[in-house]
Amino acid sequence: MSEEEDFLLEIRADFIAEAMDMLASSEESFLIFEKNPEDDSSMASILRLFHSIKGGCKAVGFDSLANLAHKAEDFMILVRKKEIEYSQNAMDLLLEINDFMKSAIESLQNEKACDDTDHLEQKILQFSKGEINERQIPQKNESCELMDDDAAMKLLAEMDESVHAQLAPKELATSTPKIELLRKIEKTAAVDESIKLSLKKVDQLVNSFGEQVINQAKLIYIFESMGIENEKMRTVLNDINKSMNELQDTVIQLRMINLKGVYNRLDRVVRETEKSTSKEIDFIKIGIEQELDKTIVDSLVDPLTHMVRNSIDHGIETTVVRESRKKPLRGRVTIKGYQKAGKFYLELEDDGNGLDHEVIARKAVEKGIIKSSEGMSKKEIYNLIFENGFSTRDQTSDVSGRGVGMDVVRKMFTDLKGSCEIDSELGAGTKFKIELPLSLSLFNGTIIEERTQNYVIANADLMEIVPYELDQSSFGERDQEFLKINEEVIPVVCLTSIDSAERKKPLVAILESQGKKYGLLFDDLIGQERIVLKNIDPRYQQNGPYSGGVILGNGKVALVIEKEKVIKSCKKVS
Amino acid sequence: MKKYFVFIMGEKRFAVPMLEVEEVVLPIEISVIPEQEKCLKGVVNLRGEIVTVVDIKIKLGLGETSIIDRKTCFVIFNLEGHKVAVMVDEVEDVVQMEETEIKDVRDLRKTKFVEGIYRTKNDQLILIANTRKLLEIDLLEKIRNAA
Repeated sequence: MSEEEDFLLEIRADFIAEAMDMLASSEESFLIFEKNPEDDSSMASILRLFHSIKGGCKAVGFDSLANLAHKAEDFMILVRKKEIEYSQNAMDLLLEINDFMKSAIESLQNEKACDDTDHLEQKILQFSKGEINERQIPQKNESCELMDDDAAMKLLAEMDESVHAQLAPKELATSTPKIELLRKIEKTAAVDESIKLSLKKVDQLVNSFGEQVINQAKLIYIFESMGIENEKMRTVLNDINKSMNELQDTVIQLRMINLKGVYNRLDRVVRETEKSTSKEIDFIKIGIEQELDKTIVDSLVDPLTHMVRNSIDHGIETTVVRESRKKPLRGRVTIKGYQKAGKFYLELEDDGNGLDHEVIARKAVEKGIIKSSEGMSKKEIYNLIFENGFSTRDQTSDVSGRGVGMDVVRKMFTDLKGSCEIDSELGAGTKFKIELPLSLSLFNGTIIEERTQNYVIANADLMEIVPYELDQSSFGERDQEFLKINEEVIPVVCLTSIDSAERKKPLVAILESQGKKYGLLFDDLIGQERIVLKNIDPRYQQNGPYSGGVILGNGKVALVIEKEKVIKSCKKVS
Repeated sequence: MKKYFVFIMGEKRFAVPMLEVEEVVLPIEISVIPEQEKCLKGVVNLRGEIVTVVDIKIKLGLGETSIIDRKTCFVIFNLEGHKVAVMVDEVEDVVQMEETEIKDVRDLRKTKFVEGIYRTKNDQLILIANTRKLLEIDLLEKIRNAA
């Protein structure tokens, strides 16, 4: 390959990454613009973004895309100047263009040819012509012809002037060239300086840090086993430990991104579902600045999309029904993200119809998921909707009924080492609470011993450790024991056999999930270590409550216990 | 001609394609994992990587590798990125075999894990093992793709 080709490929890759970012921001601005068409600044930023995309496309030789971006730009200018009347249809076309650009650039990234741009260009053409003829604006009857760059830039600058005139009228009084001014304002807007990093580099750092963690654990192990007390050595080890703690926080944070991307995608989902169901929704997003591991954030979009669709389609009532129930006519869907006690929580709430526990219980019995709902709390019954093969509607609608059940949704969360729970009130609404770990690969853990083997529990999963005494277990059935602590009865399981005859002073680790406690019996407590999760043979993960393995300071392998799987094995027996 | 790696299990000689073997190491302390299939012995720390140890003797119906002595080795297989450690009683040799001289026994009903037999010049029989089946590579692949 020639140098020139190499260079082209390189700048193409750069451009693609950049363009994806720009299209994400333009989508966001489109949605803001839709809510408030009078807000000129959002359209101004869209135009700026499209102009850059157009320039970039041309530079790297994606000519057809450049053409489309150009036409879209012209079209937007007309909308902005109100020469095309703002309408829902216009908005739809704009979003369609944005989506098309996105998928085209995505396919270019995968080295596939992008789809033909003709039909969209045609659509823009028709749209512009139709509207313009109607309103008869003499100057612009040739408006769909390509404007040259200078003209477009001029127009852009003009428009920016008007924006900035609103924002900062004084600044405009100076004779600074318009484009220059534009740059200046962009510069001052950037407060938090940032650089773009490839994920690969970050992961390399995470891996090296992981190796370092193992080395540190080894060092401490060797020092401890030498059995000599050396104050200097001790101080150095403590210093290393302190800086490793800080490093760990930083390294984890490097992989964290905020929820903006997810929330923006959900905005689109809400908009589309609103349209297809003819319901009006206020979508409230809380905690957009909250950060979470990138892998987790990326995997959240699919299940949340499904859940939001469900909430609007099945949860929120039609306007007529809402009126008769004296509820606000616009339905409300709220999503809230926050951190608490080393875990991340997402809550999705709607003020719709709520769930009917009687209907769910009946269905669950019919489908053979439970034998009888006797003795079950309402909440336990609601959570049956996550069971395999459960779907309360006989007929699925085309909005949310895409063959994805709530069981699949829950699996997507458990795959992320998280969990999902539902609560509801008939007539008032439904609330999902999702619990997620902050990071998948680096965390602090407690090492326990069970039958001479070591295991690890993540500290965030661990509530407390209590001694287990034989007479405490009130009743047992098969391998399930129950433990009574402060008048609370907790189911207890064990990794091997719970048979207490050979055990001296066993302990029980109390784990909590969604407000309920579970116990894990083990022989001895070894200590604390910083854990770098490593992959293990998937067969072990299938046949046991393990999420991975870790190499301890003494060089041995310990398996990491996955809370949700332990709890599942409790539930199976009880 | 193709190179085969020959090892001894119980009283029998087995051979696998040389390319499937990554390295041979001395026995490492195994971390046992409870409640698993009998042939899955546990995991070891192979220079920072967690690798599963399999006792293929159980699969081959040759009993169980109970004694780890001076001759015991861990043979590290790498098939399509799946790394597995296999306990063998003794590592013997690397033998060049003409593929046409390997007798195909795949049609015999009883031989699930042996696909061929090779007779050496001094009349020794070497069983050619089907490592894909023996190490459940298809299953591992399936789980990997499902994830």
